[in-house]
Amino acid sequence: MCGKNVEDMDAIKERVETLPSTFKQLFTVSSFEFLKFLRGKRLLAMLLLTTITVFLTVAISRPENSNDFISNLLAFITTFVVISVTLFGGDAVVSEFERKTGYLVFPLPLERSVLIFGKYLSALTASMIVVGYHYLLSIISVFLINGSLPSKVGLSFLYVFLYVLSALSIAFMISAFMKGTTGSSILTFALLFLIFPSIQSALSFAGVKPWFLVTFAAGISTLIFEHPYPKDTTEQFGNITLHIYYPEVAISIIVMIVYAILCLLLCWKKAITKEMA
Amino acid sequence: MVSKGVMEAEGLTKAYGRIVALKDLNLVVEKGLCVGYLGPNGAGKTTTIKIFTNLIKATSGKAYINGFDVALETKKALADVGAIVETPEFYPYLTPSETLTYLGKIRGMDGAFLISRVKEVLDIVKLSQWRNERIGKFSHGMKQRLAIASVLLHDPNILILDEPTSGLDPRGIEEVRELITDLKRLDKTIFMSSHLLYEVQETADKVVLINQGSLLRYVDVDEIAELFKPDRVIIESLEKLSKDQLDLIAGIDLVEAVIQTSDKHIIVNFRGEDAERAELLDKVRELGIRILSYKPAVSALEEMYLQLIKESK
Repeated sequence: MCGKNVEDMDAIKERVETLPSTFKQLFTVSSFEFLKFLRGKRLLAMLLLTTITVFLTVAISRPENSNDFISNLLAFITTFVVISVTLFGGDAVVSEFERKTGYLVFPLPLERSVLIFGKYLSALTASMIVVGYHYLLSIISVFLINGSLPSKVGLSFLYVFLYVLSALSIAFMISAFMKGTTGSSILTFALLFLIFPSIQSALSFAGVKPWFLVTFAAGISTLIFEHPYPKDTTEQFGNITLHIYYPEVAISIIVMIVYAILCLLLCWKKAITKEMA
Repeated sequence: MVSKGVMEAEGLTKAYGRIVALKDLNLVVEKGLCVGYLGPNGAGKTTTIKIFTNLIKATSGKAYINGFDVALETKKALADVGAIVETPEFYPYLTPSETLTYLGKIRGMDGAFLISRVKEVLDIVKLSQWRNERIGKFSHGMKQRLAIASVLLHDPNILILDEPTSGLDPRGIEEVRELITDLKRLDKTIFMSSHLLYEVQETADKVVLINQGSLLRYVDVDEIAELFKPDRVIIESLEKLSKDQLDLIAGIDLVEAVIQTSDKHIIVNFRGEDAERAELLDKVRELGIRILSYKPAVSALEEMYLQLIKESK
């Protein structure tokens, strides 16, 4: 920059130095993105749906064993995770391109990585509010009715947290690669709710344990309430051999972490190079 | 690196498959100048602006702002820039105040200063009364005003504007023009693309003309008037012009052609410059035609634009 005079150089330096830290920018992006979920009433709708589900489950069945009771109450937790990540992360990246808001934010002195991770944090917070609320209502219900707290709830919550991380990374990755918000949201939901479970069933039928599928791995979040932890079984019905597989805890944790990291990295790689053409 | 200007394109090329949108563009925009960026649709104007504002990456070459490579040091390069690119869109769930607060915080503004600055810029673009309304309900013109507010918010020294008056009504266009003139007085560097030649001629110090991705000219606005003299005038008469009168005008020795555009309007092509244009006026009046208006058919900039675009094809 030797073509510029000292005064200019100082002014440029001052302008650059007044920029906030990456962490501060991350917080700003995340908090304003969260406002979208509040204003759009997506979060409110999810909390309402959670409340209705828990109350209906309580109304239908109240097992005396607290572990069985909470297992019933959390039976749909992975479905809630899928709906949450679809609503909060299904269109996170692609919307900036399709709705042209990228023209507003990409020319800012803000790394795209910060924008993406800020949105991810926000979607994670919103999803975990839904999940946390579901657990809280379930624990309160069990305690009020049975007078005792189920064991391993903390572990189950941790496993669901890992599933949220991995499912959200998948949603963000799809969102980075897709061209439309609707297609991106539909594909996210279909992949986690229909496609992966269908592959899971087909593989089980063929005698292959689908340990590498994230939806299969997520099963550990409710299976840990069973005592003893279930083991893979094979049953014979005439000529048909039926395999029933259960995810192993350690492997499933690794699978979910790998999905979370790998998909988020792919999302990041695509999002930073994607052009606002 | 060595940088001569606040904005610099160095062999900038952008290709989309076989289509080359920008070919080896070399350009230096000096500090404090207002540069008009002209060219027909598809010339490469928006592509250039998108590369400078981190919306797309160049296939080859470099774009520098304040000496920082936009592709590699994005945050530093865009620290002192305010940009409007294409049709601006905003988050519909936010209000103008919230949007500007968001943008301000990203740029490191905060507290009472940010609040007062948001109010100030919303006043400038006349959006104060809608400052707490959700943007989802806004018209295109209102969004364009908000985009201008977002550009002014942090008082940047470099403004990159892609068709800044697009979507505005005539009053809005005039206000933006005045705003640009005010910003020029404050020694801001303005790089502005536009289709409106008059607008550029009125506001810019220099003009860049590109076509089919290549730079055709980069000249001072003052130079254009010298280089490209208009040789057509539009004459409006008080009464209807008869065929005899048209023949008499066509018979004047300076005149090359007369085109009648309506009963009272004609375009006259003539040979010569300013003196001959004055002489032509006298001769037409000597024919007994009462003239209501007499002006060049095109501006010098328009003349240059049309001629260079034609030559480049």
